[in-house]
Amino acid sequence: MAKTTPTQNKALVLEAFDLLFNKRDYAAAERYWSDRYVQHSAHIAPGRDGLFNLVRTLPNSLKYENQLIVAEGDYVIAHGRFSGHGRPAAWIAADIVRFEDGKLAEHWDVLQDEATKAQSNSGLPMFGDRFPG
Amino acid sequence: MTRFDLLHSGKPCCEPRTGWFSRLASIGAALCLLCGTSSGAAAITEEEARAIIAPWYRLFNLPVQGDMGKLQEEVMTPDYQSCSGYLPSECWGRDTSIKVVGGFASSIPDLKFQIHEVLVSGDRVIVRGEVTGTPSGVLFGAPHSGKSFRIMAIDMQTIRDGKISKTYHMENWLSALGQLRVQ
Repeated sequence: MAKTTPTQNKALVLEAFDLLFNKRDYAAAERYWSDRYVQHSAHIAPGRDGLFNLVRTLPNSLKYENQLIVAEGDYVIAHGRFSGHGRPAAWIAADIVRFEDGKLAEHWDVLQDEATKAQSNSGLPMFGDRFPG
Repeated sequence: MTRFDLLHSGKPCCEPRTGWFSRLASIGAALCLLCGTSSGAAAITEEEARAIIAPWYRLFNLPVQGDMGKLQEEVMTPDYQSCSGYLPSECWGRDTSIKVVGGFASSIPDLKFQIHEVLVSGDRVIVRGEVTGTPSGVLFGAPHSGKSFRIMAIDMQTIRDGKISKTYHMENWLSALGQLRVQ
């Protein structure tokens, strides 16, 4: 497939994440991820299957919300929040994706538990305009 | 040896050949992109179509970040037209189209456009979608009730030079009004 633009890549990441994490539509999501997907996250097993199989184990309450997405060249960084995954706190995530041939081809992430107001030195929420809880 | 000879040699135009024939075959294969399309416009794959239309549909789902002018130029051709009917008032240019979609951020703040199906034929891309939302006020005459709607939308996009040049679209707003008015 022809190379996709940064604008297209941002929209494709948002569609892909919504289909996989929110709609749990594995068949539809599959077209967005390369079958040679390279995973760098410490939390996810290798390949497209590693990611999809992990999502299959997560509760139905899993939700992904995006706050900011930027792109340059073949890279996209999405600042978002994973909630409803069964952990005590939601995960604030910076997902870094490299595109190749129009698909998500490689992934890194930086994850941090969402802080409550009491836990926050800045006094400002990490995500959105309000603290959790 | 012309493109037509390759086509009529009894073999498919894009079948691999050897030597100098293979060079002609590659030219023929490139020209074959024009084969079978009604207007001679370049055909695109479903994957390419989905990538081209993705930024446009993203506009419905989130408040738009960044430079709207730049986004417009990247996604739509300068002569872009969006038409929901045959009356002059039912066609909009690029600037108006962006304003209309951007306006939904306040009138229907949770508006979502979910793509269910994409069909491609030549330079045409047909999208069957599901539109949901909860109006924040009066919508097309339906009083504000806090209710939500869920309707079908069909869009037919024309793609030119990797951008959308025309949209014919229909949304079932009649059904939305019925859903919003239900007691």
